[in-house]
Parts: sequence; structure tokens; C-alpha cells
Amino acid sequence: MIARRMLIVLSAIFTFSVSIAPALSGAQGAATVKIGLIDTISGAFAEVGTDTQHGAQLAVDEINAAGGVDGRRLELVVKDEQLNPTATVQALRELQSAGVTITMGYASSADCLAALPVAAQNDMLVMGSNCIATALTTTKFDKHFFRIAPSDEMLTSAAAQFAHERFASITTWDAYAPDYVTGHDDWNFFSEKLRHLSPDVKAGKAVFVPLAAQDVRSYVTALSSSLPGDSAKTHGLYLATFGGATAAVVKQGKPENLFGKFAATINVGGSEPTAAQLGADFPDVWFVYDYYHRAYATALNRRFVAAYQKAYGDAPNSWSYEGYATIYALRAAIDRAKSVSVDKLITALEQTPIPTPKGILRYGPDHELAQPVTVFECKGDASAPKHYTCPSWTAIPADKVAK
Amino acid sequence: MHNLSLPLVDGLGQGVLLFLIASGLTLVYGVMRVLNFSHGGFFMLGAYFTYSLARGQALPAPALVAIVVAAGLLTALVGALTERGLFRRLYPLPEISSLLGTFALLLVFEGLGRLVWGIAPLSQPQSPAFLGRLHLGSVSIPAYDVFLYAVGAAVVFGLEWLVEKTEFGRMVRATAADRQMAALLGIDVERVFLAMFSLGIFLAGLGGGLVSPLVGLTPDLAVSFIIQAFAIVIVGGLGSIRGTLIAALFFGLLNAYLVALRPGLADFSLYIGMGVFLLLRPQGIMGRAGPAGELNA
Repeated sequence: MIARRMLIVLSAIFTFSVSIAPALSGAQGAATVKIGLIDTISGAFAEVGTDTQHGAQLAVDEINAAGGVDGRRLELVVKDEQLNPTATVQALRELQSAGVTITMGYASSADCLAALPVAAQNDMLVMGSNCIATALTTTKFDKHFFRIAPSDEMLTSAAAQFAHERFASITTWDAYAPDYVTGHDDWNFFSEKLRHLSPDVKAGKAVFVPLAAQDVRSYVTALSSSLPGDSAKTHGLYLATFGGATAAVVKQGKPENLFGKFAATINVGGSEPTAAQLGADFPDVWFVYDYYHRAYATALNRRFVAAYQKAYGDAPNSWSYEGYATIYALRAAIDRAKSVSVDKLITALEQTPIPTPKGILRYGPDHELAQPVTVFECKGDASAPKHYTCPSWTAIPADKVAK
Repeated sequence: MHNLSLPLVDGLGQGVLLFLIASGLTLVYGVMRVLNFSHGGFFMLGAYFTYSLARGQALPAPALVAIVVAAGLLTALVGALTERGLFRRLYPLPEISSLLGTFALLLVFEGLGRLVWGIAPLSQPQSPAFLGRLHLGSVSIPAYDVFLYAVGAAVVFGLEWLVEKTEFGRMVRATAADRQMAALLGIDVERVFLAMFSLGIFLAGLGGGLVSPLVGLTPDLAVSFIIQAFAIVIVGGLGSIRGTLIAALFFGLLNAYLVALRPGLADFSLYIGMGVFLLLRPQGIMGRAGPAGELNA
């Protein structure tokens, strides 16, 4: 009898402990706001998640040093999603079990698309850094998703605008892009937008390369052999690969002088780390992406760049910026909402001006940030300290970037 | 009108590179009956060793070649230590165990790659001498491809000579055919295994070094080429060096011509080729029907 009563009491204590454990351990306690950073910390693209984490942690440290937000400290809880949608959903569920309802990061659109239904079901916030698929704010829209980076339509629109303004003498644009749906769609959008701006411009040869291809010599030949003798004056290259795929085409294109056969190369979605990787081998390329540390003269950007260089020994890149901007967006929302309830944060994000190094930005009803797109030139330079330089940059204003 | 000499040049270049990567894999299986999934990890090490020895600089061709060979030897040393420490325990086990064990080793190598060389992608510049082209009439061949043809030929003929014409090669063939009988006849099977495994890993490291000027270096290089290497070894016939060469050239040319003529099918070239061969000749081009694994040059 006594043993049975003891068993009942112990069961009740156990059940009570389990039910309140999230509130005591991982959940949004009174003193701390936990933010789940789900990003690719391992594998070929580990740099993406690591730089995002660096930018986010810098912002967290700054905010905490200034007294926190709404009387609470911020804390990052980092999960590795390995650039894998299955691992992303697993990480999301782990955070949900621990009571963390605010999440950020997500290295790819596939990860965001996998996470969003789960987040919506469990009333969790998803702040996507690198999820640039336009569908996330259109056909797949869900109120729990907010995007930090420009969408792929915004990037290709900005690229077309830049090509029209800067390279009016180029009559034909050829393409070297990844062979998947987004790669094809983005090229189609770029060429249509450019023809709308410059009706005489033609779409030339388009070569689509498998995402994981390392030996791309055949694809380089297919592009190079299609060019006329005067292509260095009349043809431009729309390059949509990034990371290792760009490294492969640059290296394997050298014997053909591939990039020398174009008057200009615009790389949509590429960024400075690729120039850093290839150094003196890097051709003259205009990147069209989210952020370049010298392109914005705001006080917050100057502070961000200085603090990041001091903390990590290098200038911030797009991924660092996205991590940093996301934390400041969340701070602004928590400040306004005076709450970490996801519904209130969603309303606050929709209404609050967001302070970022690119300026004060606002979310539209589609949860897309109206923002400038950054275009900057990088090229190899054996005499430079890092064997490359980025001598020119500009920002395509938000009103010229279609959403 | 397509210039059909261009895919021929590209295809041969791709094929020779694939052969150099896959040759060590078929050699190890042919002698030891171990499906070495960690072959990709050794390949990655060869690429990174090349970068470290060259300090990421563009070097004259002789220096780069010497460094690639040194990287292969360093990789072989790692291979020898691994053979002593791990593979020896896998030989008596079923093939599924060696597959799982070597896969685990592949993951260890990937992690080591991140630890030692970091997560930021690296780049080994090509030697300026290899950026030129050799013109033979209307055909223009990249200088580096010509170099790879020479290396491929040296590997094929070198292995053939070693296996078919030397006393050591007779011991290797005997061990591959029946290791117990070979041991009873006084052959030091453990030393044969160590030597051949190290040679196979040298080829993996050499392949990695030769690829390093062509691609960006990241730890996932370990898995980048391994699927193709396995497909080539299977289609060529497990344990057959010549079969591996023929299969590699076939896949290289198939991919190159599909990219030029039917780009939509190029992504599937590996699977199309594998499907056709395994339907028509499941033992592989030069493999023998029945129990697999005899080494033959």
C-alpha cells in the first residue's frame, strides 16, 4: 500500500517535471530570449553558416552589452542543418521541443520550404537568411516566414537593370547557370527583363551545368565554341553559379581564356569569398548579391564593419550581414511588441522600421524587405595583399528592383 | 554544324582523369577484395597535400609535377598506416563490413580535412605552362590534358608491367587468386597486401593532386568523384586495370558528346552507361563471369 502510494507520488512528480522542463530549461524564460540559428555549419558550405553565426553573435553581444531587449538578454542556440532539408526539419523540431519558437538562418531555399509547414504548424517564426526563392513570398507564402536577403527575382532584376545601365554596348548575353528549376527560371527572368529594358539585346547560348559537377570542361567548351570572333566586345556572360561551381568554371575556363571572350561578366548570387578563394586567378566579375561592406555609408554599417573586423579579423560578407541584420530586425520587433509571442512578433515585423547596415528598411505585406541590391566588381590582382581587389561598387535602389 | 573534335578532346581528358582516380580503387579490390569507400578520402588528402606543399602558389610545371608525386607518396604513407591499423582487421570480414568500415573512415577523413585545412574553400593555381594548348592541325588540345594522357599511359603500362612481368607481380596475382594457398607456398601475404594497398592509395593521392589545379578544394572533395569512380570500376570489371581504363574513357566521351549534342541527357550519362553495360555484360567489360575480384592488368 505504501509502495503503491509512493509510486503514484513519484509518477506525479516525474510528469510535472517533464511538463515544465521546457519552461525551466530551453524555453523563453523571463530573463533570456533564445533564438534558434539553423544553418549549415559543416560540409562544403560550412563557411555560409559560420559567417552567418558570426554576424548574428556579434549583434547578440552588442545588444546584450547595451542592456538587452525589453529587459531580456538574447541567446543563440545553434543547430547544424548540413544543407539538408531533412536535417533542417529535425533541427526545427529539436528547437520546438526545447521551447524555442524564434528561428533564423536556413542556408538554402529547399531548407526553408521544408521547414515552413512544420514552423507554421507549431507557430514558430522563420527568418530566412539565404532562402532566396521568390515562391516563399508568393505562391508558398506563409505569415511565419520573413526574408532578410533579396529574392532571386530581385537579384536577377537588379542584374538586368545594371546590365542595361552599365553595358549598353553589349548586344548579346550568354548564360552559364546551374541545371535546376531556379537556374532556368532566373535566366529566363533576367533575359526577359533585360529585353524589356533594351529591346535590341538578344539572349545567346545558355549552358546549364549539373549542380554537383566538378569536371565541367565539356560545358566550358560548349559555351566557348559558340562565341563569335568579336564576342569580347559584343557578348556578356550571365553567370549564376556560386562557390565550388564558380571555382571549377574559372579554373577550367582558363586554358580557353573563357572570361576574356566576354565584354563583361555578371555573377548573380556569387560573392566575395569566391574571389578570395581564387585570388589572382579570379577574372573580372561583377557580383550581384545582398551586401558589400564598402557599399553603404550608414553609421550602423561603419560600426558593424569595424566591430566585425575587430572580432573576426576580416571584413563582413553577405552572410555575416544577414546574421547581423536578422538579430537587429528581431530586436526591433521585440521592442515594439514588448513580447516574444510569435503572433505579436509577426505583426511587429510587418509594422516596424528595421535598422540594418544597408539603411532603415521595411517589410512589405509579402514579408519581403524593400531593399537595395548590391553590385560590386572583384578581380584577381597578384600584387594585392589578398591577391584580388574589389575596386567598384554600387547599390541598385529598391524602387528599381522588382519584387 | 557541330565540331565533333571538341568533345573528343574533352572526353579523352575527362576519361583519363577518371581512370587515374579509379585505378587505385580497382587495384585494391583486385588484390584484397576490399571495396574501399575511403578511397575518396585519400583522393582528398592528395589534393590538400598538393596545396600545402605548393603553398597555394602557381609553380613551374616541373615543380608542380614533383609536388603532386610527393603528395601521392605522402598519401601512400597515410594509406600504409591505415592498412596496418584498420584494413588488416577488415580482410577476413564479409564485404559489407569492409564497405561500412571504409565509409566510416571516409567520414573521418572529411572531418580531418575540415580540422586541418579549415572550412574556407582553397585553390591550387595551375602551372602557367599547363595553361597553353597543343595544336595538331585543326585540333587544339589543352596542354594539361596532354600531360594527363602521358600520366595515364604511364600508369597503365607501369601497372601492367608490374603485375604481368615481375616476380612481385606473380606473387600479387597468386595472392589475389587464393591468399591461403599463396601463404602456404611461402608468400608473405601481409607484405603483398601492404605494398599493393599503398600503391593503390598512392594512385588515389596522385589523382587528387592532379585534380587540384582544376577545382576548388573543400573537404567534400572526398565524395565528389567517388561515385563516378565506383561506377567505372564496376563497369570496367572489378580488379581489371584495362577494363577501368576503357570504362573511364567511355564515360568521359559519353558525357562530352552528350553535352555537345544532347545537353538534356548529359546529367544522366553515368546512369545510362551503367545501365547499358550491366544489362549486356554484368561482370563488366573485362571482368570474368563468376566470382569477382581476380586482379588482371
